[in-house]
Amino acid sequence: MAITVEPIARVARAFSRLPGIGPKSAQRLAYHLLNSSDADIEELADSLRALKGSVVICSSCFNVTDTDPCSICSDPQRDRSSLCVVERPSDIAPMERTGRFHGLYHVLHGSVSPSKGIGPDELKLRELMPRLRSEEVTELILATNPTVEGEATDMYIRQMVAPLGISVTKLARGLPYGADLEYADDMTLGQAIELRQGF
Amino acid sequence: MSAPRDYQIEGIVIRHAAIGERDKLVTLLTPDRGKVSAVAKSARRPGSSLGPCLETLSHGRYHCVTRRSTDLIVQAEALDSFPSLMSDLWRTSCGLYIAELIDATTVEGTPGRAVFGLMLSVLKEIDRAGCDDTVLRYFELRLLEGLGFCPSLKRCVQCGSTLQPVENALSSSLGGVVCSECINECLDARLLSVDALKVLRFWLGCDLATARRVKATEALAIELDEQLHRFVTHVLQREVKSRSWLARLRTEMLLTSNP
Repeated sequence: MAITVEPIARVARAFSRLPGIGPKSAQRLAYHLLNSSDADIEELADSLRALKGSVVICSSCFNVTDTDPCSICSDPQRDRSSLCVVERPSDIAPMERTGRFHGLYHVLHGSVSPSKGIGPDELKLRELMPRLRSEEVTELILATNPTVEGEATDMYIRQMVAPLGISVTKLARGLPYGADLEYADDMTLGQAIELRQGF
Repeated sequence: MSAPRDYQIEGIVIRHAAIGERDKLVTLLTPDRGKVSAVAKSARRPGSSLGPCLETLSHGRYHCVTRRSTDLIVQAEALDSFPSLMSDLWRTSCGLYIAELIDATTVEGTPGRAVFGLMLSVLKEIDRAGCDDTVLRYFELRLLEGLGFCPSLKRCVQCGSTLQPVENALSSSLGGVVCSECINECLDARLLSVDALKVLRFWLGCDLATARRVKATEALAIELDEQLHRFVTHVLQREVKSRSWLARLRTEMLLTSNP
């Protein structure tokens, strides 16, 4: 049923423009907000207004941040010899959650995708070279997505930085935790066999 | 009788896009149904058994269920993952160029056994022996043939006379070679050398392994590239985006082992 009350319809239309939100979900969210307290609505509106105004791109790693340089780049405790390349700013949070990586990041803002016309010039790839030359980086970790585009990006970076003589590693490929060996595909299982470790 | 609700198809993934939180919209090239689009639920989740079979250039067998708006891929089995192709930047890029070209030239629901067979054989050849200009040009020519846009190479498309072994010209708007007498009557015709015409005719009658025996000089390779590029662009009415990426890779000398 179409919403006849214009303010609710307007909010629903705004929500439905968000990724993964269909018209039904948008309508449900709009009605949920209608029943929320004034304080909650104010907080939501303020935070949305502040989103564009206070978030900037870190001039060093190109992560989204509210300070420039970002909290990771300006942290003296971080290991500056290790630089991890990720595709998106949202990839940093899961890496940090592991608690296993203490180096710095470099966000590409995408991956090489020839059919979409996305090449190195559309990514923050050129900006990587000055960092590798000027900073005391000894290991470059490629943490792009395990997709064709991610692999192509990895291979391009590997060849781009080869003259610098920096150690280039990439995240291991293999069986995910909790998976059934029976349902593993050839590519993943093959890589898991090739990259097996001593136990 | 209504069509079956579920079906199994062999296919090659030519494109995919992320939808929702974890789903993928996958476009397959299949022999029997041509281009097919279907949604794979949770395929982007780590550990999904579907995910690895739904990457671009994956060749597999897919179990689909028909839904009202779109089909769903519920099971997938990899038939070929092209490991050498996937581990080399140049080969991968050539594969992506082929996938983009196929995607741009085919329509959903039109069977294309010849085009599917061509794509599969070319990907297998690239995986086996790498990719050079001959492979890409051969693919472009045979794709045009499979789609019904093959340039006419026997007779002049303007006057119908038998072509002589002299420098003729290729016209993309007329769809083939124009003889030396008619060149001036066709504005978009570009000169076509005798050797280039011979190679194009030869490629139309042989398989890829035989086609690769042609050792073209650099000048001939450039000529074939330009002529077929003009022809493909005329058919598509737009540029193939991956082409500039291939040109860039060549320029930057980033090739690992090929061509």
